[in-house]
This record gives sequence, structure tokens and C-alpha cells, in this order.
Amino acid sequence: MSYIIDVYKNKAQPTKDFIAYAVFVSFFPLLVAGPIERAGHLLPQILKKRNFNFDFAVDGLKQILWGLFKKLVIADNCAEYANQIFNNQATYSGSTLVFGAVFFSFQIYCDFSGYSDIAIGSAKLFGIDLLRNFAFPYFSRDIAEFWRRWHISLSSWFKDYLYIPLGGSNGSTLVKVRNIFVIFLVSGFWHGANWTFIVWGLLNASFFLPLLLLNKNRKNIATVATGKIFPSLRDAMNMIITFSLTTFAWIFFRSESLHQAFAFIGNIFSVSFFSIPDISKKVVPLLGLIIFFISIEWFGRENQYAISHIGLRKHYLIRWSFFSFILLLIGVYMQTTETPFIYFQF
Amino acid sequence: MKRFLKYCIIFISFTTLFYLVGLIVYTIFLPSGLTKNIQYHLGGIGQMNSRIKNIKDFKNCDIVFLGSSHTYRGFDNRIFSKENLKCFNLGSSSQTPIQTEMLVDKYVDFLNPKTIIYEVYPITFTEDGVESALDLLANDPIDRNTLKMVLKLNHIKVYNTFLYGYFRQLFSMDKDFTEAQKNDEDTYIDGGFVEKKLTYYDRDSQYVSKHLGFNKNQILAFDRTLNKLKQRGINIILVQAPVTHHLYQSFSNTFETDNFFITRNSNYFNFNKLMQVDDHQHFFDADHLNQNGVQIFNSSLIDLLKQKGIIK
Repeated sequence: MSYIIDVYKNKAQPTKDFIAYAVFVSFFPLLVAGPIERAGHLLPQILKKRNFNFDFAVDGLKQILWGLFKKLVIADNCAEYANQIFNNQATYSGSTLVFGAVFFSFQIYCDFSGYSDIAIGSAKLFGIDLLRNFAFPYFSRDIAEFWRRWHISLSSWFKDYLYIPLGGSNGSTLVKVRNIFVIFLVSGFWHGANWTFIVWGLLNASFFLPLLLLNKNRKNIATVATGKIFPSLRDAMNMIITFSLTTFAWIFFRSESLHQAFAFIGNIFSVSFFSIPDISKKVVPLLGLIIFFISIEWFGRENQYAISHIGLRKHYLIRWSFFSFILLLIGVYMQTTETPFIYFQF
Repeated sequence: MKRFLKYCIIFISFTTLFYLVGLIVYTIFLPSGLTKNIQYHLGGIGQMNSRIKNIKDFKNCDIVFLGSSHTYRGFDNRIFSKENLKCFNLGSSSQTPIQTEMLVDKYVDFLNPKTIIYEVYPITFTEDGVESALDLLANDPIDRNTLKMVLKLNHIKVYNTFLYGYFRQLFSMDKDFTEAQKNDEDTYIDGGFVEKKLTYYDRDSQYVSKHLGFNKNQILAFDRTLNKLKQRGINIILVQAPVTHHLYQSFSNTFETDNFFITRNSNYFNFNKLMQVDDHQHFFDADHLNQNGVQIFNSSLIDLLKQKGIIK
């Protein structure tokens, strides 16, 4: 679709090379769940002669490794507990349901961004540079920043082909509000014809709207705490608030129905919220792995993906030991029951 | 490209070594609950450790029993020995045909039985065989037959446990381990049977109807095992031990499963159809006979084998 629109709008040149076009629309790493590529970005790379690039290929393998860790270790293990808690929500305390929602937040991020890393890394082995799809969205300081960092290829697609043609952030306040609600509603519909996705979209629109109306939606453009080890207290608080808001919205995304979502939220905001979470000892390694994962993502947040620059200035044995350690963690902790990628259904 | 491939090979060699050392260090120093994909449990609920050590006393048997927990809890060699039959029970927890094949390759020539009674619980044919393999990896010496089984299962838990188990075996770390003969309510009986303290199944659980779809790899292993036994000239009797009525009725394709077994071996007996047992009097759980049930089942089986002229 983007190819046709781009050619129609003279943003891309139509290709007469059928094979190149066929490769563009059916390039296997992208075929199932993106990143959503543009003709202007991918087609020229397919058309030009590619030479094998050692550094590019090594980078691709590292990105695949990190994608595998995210998917097999974090996402699939979180899925086990998130499913257990969401499917039996009536039997769990409010504090346990909070854990369930947080597990789902990590599941969906690691599942989808893990897939994107594997896809981008695989493409690098063929000398193709795909669009970035995630830029550490859970380190965002507001919802506007979150949406610039989450599923970037879809967000920018909606921006270019829907939001801007509608007028974007130009025009009256009413037009701005309409455009924001339209884009988030369409985003909800894109995920499926279920009221839960619509409410999820509306919730995100309502989180986004105040920033737009106060003209603060482009306040946080640069990566948080650039060049520093720790964030400021203010940034840390903003990240926690943004993560909480997105996690709250994910409850609707994950629930089978609105009734289930409201019951889930109702149970969270009950007296049992203050009880000790009912989670088994088996969760302990997963919590440790999530902390490890967040730490690596934090220290790599200024790069394309978390481990791209790790140990580059160190002796190769130290670097290799780190990658081998990731492989060991995958071997010891990967989920062994098959868990399909969430975004394969969309 | 050449440089890339060279580095790939060096990195794979390095990471393999790192993985091996890391896996062992990790498993030794971390509590077992924290090592998700390494399940090394020396001495287990099926008392396989004792059974394997017991094999050496049973050279040249009349009958060897093979199969899952239905086997080591269902065929009491003391009852068979009253008929002057020397029997060994080689059942193990959740034993699937893939494990049976390995045990046959390892021990049948030594046990040298005239007859093998193979308990074919259809559920075991639907499983991947991983859980059962983990029990064997910890309690049965690792050799090339074990490696063959590990490669057939092709599962990360099995690979990890195999590597760790092999390391322990290499350094004789389990040589002083002796399994308790009496374990909670179970008592290991010489010859492989495990006697459970007499208790009665007191539930009327309803089960969701289940279609038993057999795993292709299990079917292949089963066929190979039958061929190997036939080639050795051993009598093969396939037996389905009884389970509670509710459980049996929940299997929606028993006709199909019976047909599968009878086409593999004409001596196939489904005791869910051949004898009457009471769910509350003769079982201790949904699918295991208690000692009263074992007595009836074994007597019926002996009568049947006599009728068919398989034993005298």
C-alpha cells in the first residue's frame, strides 16, 4: 500500500524490475510481523549490488542474539505467569494482578521487539538495513515519547499516511483532538475488531491529548539521561508514571473482553492491593532475569539495540564471554513450550 | 566472507566450552529451583535408581515388564514368582516408547527374557518423552544409547541434563548415593515392583473427553522396539493395564488405539475391557491400581497367559 501511495505522490520511483519488487513485498524477515518497510528505504537497497560486510553481519548476529534472549527468556517466561494470572484473575489478590499486568508489559515488549531484532538482524546478514522498530520505549518520560519509540515503523506509517493528510497538529484545537483520536482509534482497529483494542487506543489518545494541547508532546526527544549513568529523580519518576500508564492500557489489550478488563482493574483497586503478592518461588529467577534485562537495556539505550556496543572497547574474550553468557541464560531459562509471537495474529 | 566464517567457527568453539563450564558451575552452585532447564533429580518417585542397580541380579529372566508407572506399580513380581517365573520390572515414570527403546537396547540382552510384557498406556504415546528422559538421565548410567535417546528427543532440558549428568558420572559424583528402599508410602520390592501403602481412590472426577493423538516419533520408536524384540525371538505381549472407568471413558478413540496395538502385535490385551475392577476399591488414584487391584489384575493376566499357552 505504501509503495502505491509513495509512487502516486512521487515520493518513490516505480521500479520496472519485477524480481526486486517481488523481493520488496515478500522479504521474509518482514513478511509476518514487520517492521513495516517503505519502498523508498528498502527498494534501493534491493536494487543496488551488495557486498558482504563483516561488521554489518556481526552486528546482525548480535541483534539476533539479543532478540532471541528477549523472546525466549523474557517474553515467553513472562507469558506463562501473565496468562496464569489473567486467566484466573478472580482468584488473585490486587497486588498479584499488578504483577500480572507488569509481566504482560514485559511480555509484549520483548515478544514484539525481540521479533523485530531477529528480523532486522537476519536482514543485516543479507546486507539489508531495515527500519528501526523499537527504541527502548519503557524508558520514555511521557506518552508522546513512548509512541515515538514503540512500533516506530507503524507509528510513522500512521503519521505519514493518516495523521498528516488529516492535518496533523495544524489547525484548530478541535481538529487536533479529532486527529489524535482518529489515529489512535485506527491503531486500535488495526489490532483487531474487539472493543478492548478500541478502548486501548482511546486510553492512549487520552494520555496523549494533554501533552498535545499543552504543546509538550515534543518535550522529550533525546534519549533519557544521555551520557549519564543514572537518570535524574524527575526523569525516573516520569519514566515510572509513563510505564504505569502504558501498563494500565495493556490490561485492555490483553483482556478477552471489556468485562474482564474492568473486573481486572476493579480487583487491583481493592483492599487486596495491599496484601503480599501470591507468586510462587519459581518466579524468582524470572524477576532476576527482568532486572538483568532492564540493566542491559538501560546501559545500551543510546544505541540501536541494547548490546550493540557492549564490550566493543574491551578484549574480544570479554566480549565473547558476555555473548556466551547470554546464550547460557537462553539455554538455562528459555521457555520450552511453544509460545507464538503475539503480533503474528495482527 | 571467509573471515566471517572463520570467526563464526572460533566463536562457536569458544561458546560451546563456555556453555559447558557455565552449565556445570551454575548447576552446582545454584539451588535446583533456580535452574529451570536442568532437572537432575537423583532418586525419583519411580525408584529408578534402585531398579537399575537391581538389574545385575536378574540375568536370564522368564519375563521382563516394560512401560510407565502402570508397570512398576501394576506388575508385582512376587505374584508371578508363585508361578515359578523369574521376572524383572523395568518400568519407569512416564516411560514412553523412546525410553523403552533405549532400555531395551541397554538391558534386554543381559536380562535375556523369554517373554516381554509391554504395558502400552496410550497417554504415553501422546507425550514428547522429556519428563521420563530426565528421570533416566539422573538415575541410569549414561552411555551411547542414552546419547541416541537424547538426540531423538532434541530438547534443551534433555541436552542440559544430559551434559550435567555426564559430568557427574565422569567424576563419580553419585557413586555413594543409595536410594532409600522405603520412600514415603512406597516400598521398593526386589525385582523392580514398587508397592504402595494400601489406600483407596475416593473421588469421582469427571474428565473432559480427550482424543489421543499419538506422537509420530513415539510410533516410530515403538515399531523399532517391537522389531528388535522380534529379531531376538522374544515373545511380546502388549497389555493395557486398567485405569478408572471415568478416566478410560474420557478417551474418545479407544477403538482406534486398540486397533493400533492389535495391528502391531496380535497378543494385545486391554484389561479395561477384560476384567472388572471397582474405581474405589481397586485404585489409589485415577490411573494406578492399589495392591488389591494389582492382585486381581496380575492373577487375571497369569490366567490369560496360561490359557494362551504362553506360560505353563
